[in-house]
Amino acid sequence: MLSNLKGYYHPKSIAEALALLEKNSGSILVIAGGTKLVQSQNDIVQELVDITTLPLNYIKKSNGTIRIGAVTPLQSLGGSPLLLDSVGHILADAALLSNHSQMIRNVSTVGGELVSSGPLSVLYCALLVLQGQVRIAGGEEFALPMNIFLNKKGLGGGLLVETVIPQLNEQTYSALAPIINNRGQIIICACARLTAKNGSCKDVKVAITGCPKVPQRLDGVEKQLEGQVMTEAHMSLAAEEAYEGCHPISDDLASEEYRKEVSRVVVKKALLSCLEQAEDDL
Amino acid sequence: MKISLTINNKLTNIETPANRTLSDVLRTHGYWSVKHGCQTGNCGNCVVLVNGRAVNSCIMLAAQAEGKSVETFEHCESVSELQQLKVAIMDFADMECGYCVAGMFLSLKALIDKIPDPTEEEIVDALAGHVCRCVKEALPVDRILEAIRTSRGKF
Ligand SMILES: Cc1cc2nc3c(=O)[nH]c(=O)nc-3n(C[C@H](O)[C@H](O)[C@H](O)COP(=O)(O)OP(=O)(O)OC[C@H]3O[C@@H](n4cnc5c(N)ncnc54)[C@H](O)[C@@H]3O)c2cc1C
Ligand code: FES
Ligand code: FES
Repeated sequence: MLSNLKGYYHPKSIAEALALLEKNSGSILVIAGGTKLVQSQNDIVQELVDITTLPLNYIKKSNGTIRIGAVTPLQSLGGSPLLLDSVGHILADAALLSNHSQMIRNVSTVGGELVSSGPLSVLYCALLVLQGQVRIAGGEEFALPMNIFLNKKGLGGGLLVETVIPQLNEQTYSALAPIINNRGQIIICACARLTAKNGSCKDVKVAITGCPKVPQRLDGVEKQLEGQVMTEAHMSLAAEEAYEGCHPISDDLASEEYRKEVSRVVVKKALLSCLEQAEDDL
Repeated sequence: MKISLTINNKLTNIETPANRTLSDVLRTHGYWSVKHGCQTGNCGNCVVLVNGRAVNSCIMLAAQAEGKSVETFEHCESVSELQQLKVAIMDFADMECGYCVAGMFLSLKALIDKIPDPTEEEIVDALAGHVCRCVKEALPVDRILEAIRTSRGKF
């Protein structure tokens, strides 16, 4: 467990954190919640830069977006009325599903979760359909669209400082649908978001976990449903496209075959949940 | 490295290797209620409160607690207002080892400090991640709720 760790820094600013990371690159790493890092068998890292004291613990509204600071604990997403009001339940649900233990959610951060997301990351999946972006500081500050962020792992020694999510308008609905085994582990999860316009589905975004590397959008489902009348029949039909579009992984939780089979089930559930919300609004 | 933190309201300065966990450091300083259960964040036996939030101290470096306030079960032992809750959890462990009790108790304390009148779901959520290896029955959420309600206003 970090057997060669010798130094630990509490920088007071992002600039100071970046300077430390740049100066000692190779043997120095960022630590946020530490829930992944502390128990990793990493004997290369000699120094850690603790970013939790930086002013990056916030959820705020600005210019039609929601901004979530990188060191915001996952647990804070669960109880945020601002988030609920601006993007619905989906992010809070995703954060709660990230880990069933509140003790871990109290510590693990949005930034740490995103940087280390893998195929089953529900938070990443939810941010894909919400069209979130991450802001990276380091050298030049730039934003990466969510769907290329982890495929590239493009941090390059920089710091993920913020996640930016466009606020949803009133007729936009979002939902997630997981399959959870009896040990509380999430095998697969679909996320969906769509806008109801004159009774039709607009701006449909659907993504699924269990794909290689990170969750992916399901273009086939989105195209099939875009512009269609918002009915259960159209949603069920579109969900069938998930089977073709999904190329899942096999792991000790489930086989590729199983995940492929149930992809249409979870996509349908997520879409129908959006429909239900739309009907409740009428 | 030197770290400075508050443990059970007492400002404490500690000299420790950078890679030591908070649970190790607390035990070295005599806070034996902090148990080693799994050391991987999977059982909750090592739970302490850091700035009022329940955390697994086995997967947190002591250095992460720099400048923060840490509360262990030792601090709650003398608080008479918490007796009812303690009895409810102790009853659950009954004749068994009681290894899991301190962690569960602290998670519940963090919950009622924040939400004085929690729902059953909130209690279940606060206790998720806690493992009792001896007692196979489900946790007595109704008894815990009753204990919290009886002592309401006294915390
Ligand atoms: C019991 C248990 C169960 C777990 N289950 C899962 C699981 O099912 N799925 C899963 O994916 N993970 C799991 N984890 C791992 C971990 O909880 C998550 O990956 C977590 O969200 C990481 O967040 P953190 O803030 O603790 O990150 P840290 O551990 O602090 O950091 C993780 C990595 O991200 C880097 N990093 C962190 N923040 C930033 C930033 N802002 N900018 C740049 N780099 C950064 C760090 O350098 C490090 O490499 C589990 C952990 C435990 C203890
Ligand atoms: S000993 Fe820390 S969670 Fe089990
Ligand atoms: S009573 Fe022994 S671990 Fe719970």
